[in-house]
Amino acid sequence: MRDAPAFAVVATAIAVVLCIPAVYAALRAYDVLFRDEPDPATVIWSWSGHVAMFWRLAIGGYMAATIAPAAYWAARRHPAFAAKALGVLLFVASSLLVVQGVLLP
Amino acid sequence: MIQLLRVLERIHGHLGWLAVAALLHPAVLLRRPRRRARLAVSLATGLVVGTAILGGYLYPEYRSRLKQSIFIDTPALGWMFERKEHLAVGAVAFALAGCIAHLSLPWMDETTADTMARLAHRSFVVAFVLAAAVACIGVAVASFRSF
Repeated sequence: MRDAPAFAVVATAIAVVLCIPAVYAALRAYDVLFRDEPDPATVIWSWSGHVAMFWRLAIGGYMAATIAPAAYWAARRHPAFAAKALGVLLFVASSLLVVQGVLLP
Repeated sequence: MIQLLRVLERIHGHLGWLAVAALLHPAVLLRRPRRRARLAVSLATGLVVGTAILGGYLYPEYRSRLKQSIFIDTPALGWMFERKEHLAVGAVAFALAGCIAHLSLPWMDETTADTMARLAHRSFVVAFVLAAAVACIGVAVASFRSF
C-alpha cells in the first residue's frame, strides 16, 4: 500500500457513501411493509420541510457516519480485504435500492 | 412562483438527461482498469449532484402542488414518480462512490488500484442505468402533468 492512511480514508468515504442508499432502501422497505400509509390520492400535502425522503437520507447519513470508524479501522488493518468488501457493498447497496425502488415504492 | 417552478423543472429535466449522457462516458471509458478519466468522472458526478440538488429543491413543491392530483388521475404514474425519487438517490450515491474511487487511484498500489478501478467502473455503470431509468420516468410524469 503506497499510502495506507490515504487508502483508509478513501475506503471509509466510499463505504459511507454506499451505506446511505442501502439504509435509505431498508427504511423505505420497512415503511411499505410494516407501516400503514394512507393512499396518496387521499392526502392533501401541505408545503413542509419535513419530507420523508429527506429524513430517510438524513438517517442514512447518520447511520453511515456511525460505521465510519469501523470502516476506517478495517481499511487500516486489512486493506486488501477492505477493497474487496467495497465491491460487495456496492452490489448489496445497488441490489437493495433497485429491489426496493422497483417493488416497494 | 409557478412560472419559476416551471422553468426550474425544465432545467432539472434537461440537466437530468445531460447527466445520463455524461455518466455513460465514464461507464464506457473505465471498463479498462488502467484508463484514467478524471475530468469526465468529475464533470459527470458534478452534473448528477447538481441535478439532484435542484430536484431536491423542487420536491416539496411537487408534493404540495402536484402529487395528489397525479395520484387521483393516474396512480400508476404517481407510483412511478415515487420510484424515480428512490432510484435517483442511488444514481447520486453510486456516481459519488465511483468518483471517489477513481480520483483516489494515484494513492493506491497496483493491486488495490485494480480493485478500486473496477469498483469505480461498476459504480458508474450502476449510476448510469439508474439515471437513465430516472430520466425516462421523469419525462413520462412531466409530459402528463407539470407545474
